[in-house]
Amino acid sequence: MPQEETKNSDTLPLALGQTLALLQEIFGDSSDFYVKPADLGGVRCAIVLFTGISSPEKLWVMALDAITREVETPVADGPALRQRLLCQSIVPLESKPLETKTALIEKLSVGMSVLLIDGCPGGVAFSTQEMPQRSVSTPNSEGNIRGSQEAFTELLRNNVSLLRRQFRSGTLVAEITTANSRAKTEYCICYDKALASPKMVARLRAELAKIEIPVLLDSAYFASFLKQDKLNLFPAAAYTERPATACARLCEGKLVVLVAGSPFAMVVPSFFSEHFETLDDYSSGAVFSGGIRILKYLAFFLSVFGPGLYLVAVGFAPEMIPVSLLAKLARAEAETPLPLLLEMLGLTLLLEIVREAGLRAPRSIGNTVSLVGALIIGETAVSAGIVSVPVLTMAAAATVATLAVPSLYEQSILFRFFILILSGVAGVPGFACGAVVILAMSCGAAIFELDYLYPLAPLGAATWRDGFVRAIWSNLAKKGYVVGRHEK
Amino acid sequence: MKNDPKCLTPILLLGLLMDLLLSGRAVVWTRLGVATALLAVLLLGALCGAVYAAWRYAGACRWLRLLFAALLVLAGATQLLRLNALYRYAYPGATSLLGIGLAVLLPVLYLRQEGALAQTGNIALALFGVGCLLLVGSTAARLRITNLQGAALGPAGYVGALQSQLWLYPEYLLPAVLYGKQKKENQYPPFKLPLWGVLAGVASTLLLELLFGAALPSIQNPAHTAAAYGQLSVFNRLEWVQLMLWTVAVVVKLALYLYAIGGLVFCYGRPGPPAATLGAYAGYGVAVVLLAALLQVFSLEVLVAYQEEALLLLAVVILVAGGVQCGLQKTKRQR
Repeated sequence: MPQEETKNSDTLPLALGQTLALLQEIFGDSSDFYVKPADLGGVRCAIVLFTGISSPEKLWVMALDAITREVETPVADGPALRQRLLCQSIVPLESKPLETKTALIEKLSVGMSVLLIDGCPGGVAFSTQEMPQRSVSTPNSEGNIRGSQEAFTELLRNNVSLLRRQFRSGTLVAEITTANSRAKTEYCICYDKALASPKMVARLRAELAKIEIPVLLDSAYFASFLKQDKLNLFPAAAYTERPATACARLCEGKLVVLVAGSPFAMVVPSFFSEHFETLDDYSSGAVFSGGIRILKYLAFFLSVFGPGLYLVAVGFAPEMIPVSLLAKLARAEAETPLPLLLEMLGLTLLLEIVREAGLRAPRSIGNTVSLVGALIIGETAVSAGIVSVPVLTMAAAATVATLAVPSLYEQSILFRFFILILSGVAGVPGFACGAVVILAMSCGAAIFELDYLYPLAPLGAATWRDGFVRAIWSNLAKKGYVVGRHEK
Repeated sequence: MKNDPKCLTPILLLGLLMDLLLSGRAVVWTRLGVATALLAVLLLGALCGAVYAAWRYAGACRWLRLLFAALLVLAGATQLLRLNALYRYAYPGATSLLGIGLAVLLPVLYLRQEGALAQTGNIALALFGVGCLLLVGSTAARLRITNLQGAALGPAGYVGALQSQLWLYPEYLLPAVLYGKQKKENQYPPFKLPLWGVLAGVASTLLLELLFGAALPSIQNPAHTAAAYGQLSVFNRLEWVQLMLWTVAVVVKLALYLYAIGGLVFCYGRPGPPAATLGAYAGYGVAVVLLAALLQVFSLEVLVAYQEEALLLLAVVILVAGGVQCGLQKTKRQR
């Protein structure tokens, strides 16, 4: 019963005046809401649209000119006019009439023009969207030398078309749905129906449909809902702003989620090893890209464990360090007033502040912030004897190493501080336990019942085919990988 | 790898190897160890198999499950005390029992699920293997074949060696809890762990004997001392490798005990793998640390000996209870 009531209250009135009054009540305060009464074949009508996202020129060229010529003779009433427009006219309008308030508001909000007809509920819609948009440009956060240089933009349809242009197969499915958000943001689940597991698709569809969120501005908002263990800090999904990367993931049977208004596509399921892969890996030679990948793994370990290990070695277990090096480190430490933990923690914090300030500050002053920060920390603090050169070297190396794997930079920073504090407080056991926490998190970060560490652990042929290193293309092409099928 | 039902054998193996190789329990002369190895494997395997079979019947008894869980908490506390003792020996005054307890129990929070536990166990076992190889390789230059002892050995030596190899660790009894529900065709092979345990014990004894010779019995922490002898390029001492490996192994062991307690107490009879709740984790952590704090007044050797006796008693109780239960069921069926 309540459902029926809601349905009734959602239905638009038959009289045009009442419909216009209703719209006036809803949008009356908005200055971009445009209403133009008209007469078609003797039936009272009105054109409603939002200026700025809908183009009156397009409306005229596409529809009104044709309609006025087609409906020259009088029409009996509103329903007859609507029937004629929908079934007999060649005017390119939406195939289904709008009869509910929700549908009317939705179409107007996405930039369509609606012709309201007296005597029948609602009217018909024309696709006359013309939104100001950013043109397709190069990616800002994924630097690559070779391959496509296109990046996603903010418009969902454009992004789907970019993806379709890369993935020219009839098996690509793009399901567009409206999210349960206040802003009714649209999102799109893309997958290759020949490769993606139907169970996985159904599960993602259901999980996303369940989500109720006040605002949806980026695909990353969904990731937290997909996480099985909410205490786990590893990301449940990977993100890309490159249609080419998204296309490559689709070819692995993965699912891509695009959200209107966001130039980043979310890829699920995602594995730990994917954060160390780039498009260039597959364009360069196998030996070189394998070496670069190993370098990136080392950089990640340096960024997470470097400062903590330094603290353990110098502060707790000096037997770890060769004697000649130990003497130099001890001399440098003896000249600074702060305890080692505070020194390293303070310096790492300061470097993160500089990095964050450089990132968030307006571009014109971003470089200045970084330069001044580097000067203060690098030159002044060492000259003043507040920090030692070895500590500065280690902290700076860890900060720079973070940037080698940009998609894991949040985790690198959090884990670095975690290991630093544990090592500073508890020494060797603290460091070892911190490492196990990270290992346990990575082992437990399963999504869709797939192990997050695949193909790195357990070690197997896949580890060396496209894991720590990558095999030559002839091998990769022969044994293509599809998620959910080839893990053994 | 698909997250299918996980195999926890690597963790059992890791726990066993860690106890055998690093606690110094396996110290007997190599000749004795080799001579008694087969008998030890057979006896231990028979006991494990019998406990495994009896648990199918005896596991229904709530008190027995609670007793098993209590013994696992005691084993956890003993591990913590042993680790603390080693850290106090290696870095005097640098750590406390509470600090080590908190550090070791923190990762267990993320090892409550079967998938994470099994995968971490696999990686930890691989790290353990690599670490052991590194330690053996780094001390290789000091190994002397002439250190092998050739003195005549009497029957008491063989009995002592057999007793040492028959030492009962919780890992020998845990397959009954972890794999008890499996179908007959997938049953856990009872001789697998004893075989690995005894072989690892003999191998470690051989290496330690080659390194220390006749001085072996007088060394307090043979594995730790051997690690301190390790030399690799410019690195002169590698005992920190052993300490880290041991810490990782203790973490995984404690997580396995919590997992087993989950199956024994909280999720018994429920379908699917047991997973300890946050509350159970907190309770377990507090119990292990408090028990370790209470027991630290006792000598570690005495404590370990009591634990072994308690485990033996538990095994006997399981066998008797399982036998009685099985007999009763058969009688009912005949009637």
